[in-house]
Amino acid sequence: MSRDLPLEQQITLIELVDRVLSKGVVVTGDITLAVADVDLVYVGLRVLLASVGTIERLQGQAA
Amino acid sequence: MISSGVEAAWYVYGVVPADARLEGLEVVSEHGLSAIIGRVDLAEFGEEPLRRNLENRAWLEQAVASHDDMLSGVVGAAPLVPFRFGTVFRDEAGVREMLHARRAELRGALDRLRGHVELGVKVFLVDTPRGEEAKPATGRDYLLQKQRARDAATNVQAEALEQVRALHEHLASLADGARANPPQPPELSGRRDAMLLNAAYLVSTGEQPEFIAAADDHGDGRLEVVVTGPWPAYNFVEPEEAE
Repeated sequence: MSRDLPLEQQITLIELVDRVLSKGVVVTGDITLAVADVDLVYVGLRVLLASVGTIERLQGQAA
Repeated sequence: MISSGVEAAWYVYGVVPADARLEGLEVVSEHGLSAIIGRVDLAEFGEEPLRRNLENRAWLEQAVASHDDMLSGVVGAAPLVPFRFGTVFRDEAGVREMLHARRAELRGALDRLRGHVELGVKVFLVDTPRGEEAKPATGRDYLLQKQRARDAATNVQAEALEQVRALHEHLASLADGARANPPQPPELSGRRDAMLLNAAYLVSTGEQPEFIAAADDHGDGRLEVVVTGPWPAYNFVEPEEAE
């Protein structure tokens, strides 16, 4: 029933974004991601995932 | 990836000790530190294009995955300080200057992270179906039933939170670092079950199996424990505050 095998690395985009984009050493390069840019990524993902969730719910109802 | 005629830049993934033996990685070394680098095109990673690309889901997915792939390939082979996504220098001199300016901090981080990996632990409160109650005969019965259901849910939540607090304390005692990040809301986790814990632990490389077993032991019918990793120590690049 559970697909959540430990260390199976069920890596979702969110999991990666949470680490790669919002953690890690921050150094000021010639180009550096601003906090606002990262926030925008989250906003976009929420919208995206919310719509995916809706689709799945609708499919669940149809099944 | 880079062909002639493009404006190349230096993307820094992270830093390892200069004496680390890593096959096939491009590095820039200074002061006993090696920056793992990749050559990228400013048309893709320049300030403006980068901002635009971040809005492109396919690009984002591929870019964050390749950042993590590069670093995950080093985990276990050498001490590693992961950098945040999107750190780009216009030339090699910029990378050297950065290594020079941050050398004390980077050396300190490498020493702390040596022999460790990061494991992620998420705990979900599994939505258990409630038993069927008798149909309320009166409006008053109906309100009482609603009240009981609310009280039961509050109790479950409070008990579960207590259980999760104990779990986090136990796992933190087995680890050399612990960070509890804000739990993701359902629209980010992709699950309807409430996330009660979204933590990362810094674990000795050799003690991973014991740690994972301990984490799994805390799971039961109500709490689902999900372990991910091993990850580069993204959550532990800064020294932990005194507890």
